[in-house]
Amino acid sequence: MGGVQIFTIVISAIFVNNFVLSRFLGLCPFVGVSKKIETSVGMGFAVMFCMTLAGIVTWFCNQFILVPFNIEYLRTIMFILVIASLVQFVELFMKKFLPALYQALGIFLPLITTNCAVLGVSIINIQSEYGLLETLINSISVAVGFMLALLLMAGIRERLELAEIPTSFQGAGIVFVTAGLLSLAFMGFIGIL
Amino acid sequence: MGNVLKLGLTLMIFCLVAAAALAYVNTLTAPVISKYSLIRELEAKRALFLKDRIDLQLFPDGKYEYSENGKDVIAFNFVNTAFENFAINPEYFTAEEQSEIPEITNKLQIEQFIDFERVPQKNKKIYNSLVNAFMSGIKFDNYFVVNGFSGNNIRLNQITDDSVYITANFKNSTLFFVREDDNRVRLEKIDESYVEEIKKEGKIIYNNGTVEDFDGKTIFDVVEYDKVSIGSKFLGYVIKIAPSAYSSNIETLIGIDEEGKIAGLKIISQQETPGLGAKCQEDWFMKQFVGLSGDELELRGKTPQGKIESITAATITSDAVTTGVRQGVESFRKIIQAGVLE
Amino acid sequence: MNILKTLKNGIIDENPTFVLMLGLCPTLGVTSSMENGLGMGLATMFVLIGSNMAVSLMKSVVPSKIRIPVFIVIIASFVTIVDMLMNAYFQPLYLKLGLFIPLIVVNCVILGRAEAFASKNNISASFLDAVGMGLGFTLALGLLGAIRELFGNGTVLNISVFGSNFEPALIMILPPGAFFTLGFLVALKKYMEKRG
Repeated sequence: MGGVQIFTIVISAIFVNNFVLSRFLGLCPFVGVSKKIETSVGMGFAVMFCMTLAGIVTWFCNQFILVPFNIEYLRTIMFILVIASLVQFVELFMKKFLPALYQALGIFLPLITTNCAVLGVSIINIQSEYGLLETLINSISVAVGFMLALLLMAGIRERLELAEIPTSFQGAGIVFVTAGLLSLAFMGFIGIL
Repeated sequence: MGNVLKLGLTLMIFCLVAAAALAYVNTLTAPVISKYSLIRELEAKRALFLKDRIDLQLFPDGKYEYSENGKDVIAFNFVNTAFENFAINPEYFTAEEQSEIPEITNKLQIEQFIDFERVPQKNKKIYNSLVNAFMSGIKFDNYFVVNGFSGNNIRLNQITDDSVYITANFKNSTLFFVREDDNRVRLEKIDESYVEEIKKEGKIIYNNGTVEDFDGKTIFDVVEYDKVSIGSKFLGYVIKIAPSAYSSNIETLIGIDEEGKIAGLKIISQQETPGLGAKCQEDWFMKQFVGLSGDELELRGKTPQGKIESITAATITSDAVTTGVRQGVESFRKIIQAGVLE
Repeated sequence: MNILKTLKNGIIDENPTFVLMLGLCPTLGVTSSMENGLGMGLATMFVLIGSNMAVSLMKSVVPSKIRIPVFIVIIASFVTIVDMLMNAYFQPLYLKLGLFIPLIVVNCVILGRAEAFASKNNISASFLDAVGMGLGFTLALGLLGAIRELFGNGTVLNISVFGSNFEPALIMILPPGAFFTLGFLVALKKYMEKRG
């Protein structure tokens, strides 16, 4: 596994194929959480932790249960149950050891379960036929990309609070247009690879 | 504690019921999925050798039929390798289309030629059915060649799943290979008549004079190809490559004519970025490869002889496909030149 | 009339895409053409109907504490069934929708309706609710797909509208175009509400 391959995976996941801005995965928290930079950072790290853990555990599930027993059609069910359980454990863990962060994230923590980005990255790891190391790197990189998009959006939205926006666009409208501009900017990265 | 256990058990039961239901649906759909996959691949292979002009004299005597959804659409006859007449199923063609039949029959009988560029629009449907029927006559015979065995290559006899050994003939002896995986075999046993020769030297002696210790563990690559023919006329070969591109392996069928040039190319599966790398499946990109060989199979601008136009902003995908095609075609050409093909 | 009211609720008042803002990922991800959008909408509607009816059927049997995991198992099962059926009988569409078919399972609309409606109402009401929501979702996706395909490709449902001299705005079928279109549609809706 060459350094070039790792570099390609990392750059691709963060910039070229950014999950939010290119692949449209993880949009619900993207729109919902990106109002403030602090919550975005907290959410970003929580997603990174869950995504990496989920990516690895689902890889093992696929490798040692689904494939050997020829039950690949149970992949969706198994993955989503694994993710739901993982999020539950992370919640309990946070409640006990990181109560401040737990309070700050509030409802958004259980919502990581329905974050299409987490299930999406698990499935993509399998589809791209990654080994364990590549899965780990890809999962982390995707989460970094997610947090990057979240932070950029939060930064812009905090500024937008002070701007005069036409009433029709206030709320969701301007968020989507901003996301479109961010997505357009990120398209510039396509030529890198 | 007992409560948690009871809840856990209830959840397990739901999961098991769901799994059972899915297993049932799977048994219903899995054969259908693989059947349609095979059909699609077969149609893609046939289309590789379809050109804009079809010489009817290519096709031997017989009756050719085309059916759609299990119903006969069109059937026609060749007698003494000349197009004779055809019958069509009235359900598929309008009265107006049917009235054109005598004129079309006459034209084909005289010209023995179909030129798609010059078929009038109103007759296109009938001609398409004719072509589909012709294509159903294209046959594929599957073969394997052991690559690099002796500096030359040797052809394996039909690989079947239930034979422990796969055999090949070499130097009037039978060689026995055992399959390692889909693309590789291991030399397992050698026929008695060749053993003496080996005993003399203690080694395997290859055709080109090189020698190697016979350790029984050497692994060889296997190349799978289809020999394409229609009736008794040989059309060419089909090979399949799957180069690793940007985010997926791009499964590609390449049709190679008897001169070693590309007769047709079709990408049958890819998971590249939609709008970018995914454009490799568009007609304009795949058509570029037809008729090219050797150094021409490079991206334009990368080398002076390169003729392949890259997809805008999708260089990795374009390069992967082009390189894969070039390597596949070149290594297959070497095998053709080695003269071991059927 | 109860039926019409439920349907109207799903299509207009509580439209999953424009009002509730749920299920955004497939909304933007597969609407590069109208056909894909409609296909995805219908697949989601199928899952929605199945899961709503199943949840409503079993609402008395499921212990409240594990109802979310059980709902997830039910939804995931229907998604897998849709996945397998589409792979077998609608393979071209299946390949175009790709990753987003298994992602139907995390479409918040489905879990949301199961929790908010189906677990508290009878089967026929749940069925109607699913149809209403499903239609609303399908129409929203179809509309988005139609706009993006029209300006980004010059076609609607693969039928050429503007003729061959039309230079399509390629950006419309790429990611930024999706965001822009949705943003403008949401703003348009708000504007029309303010006016009328």
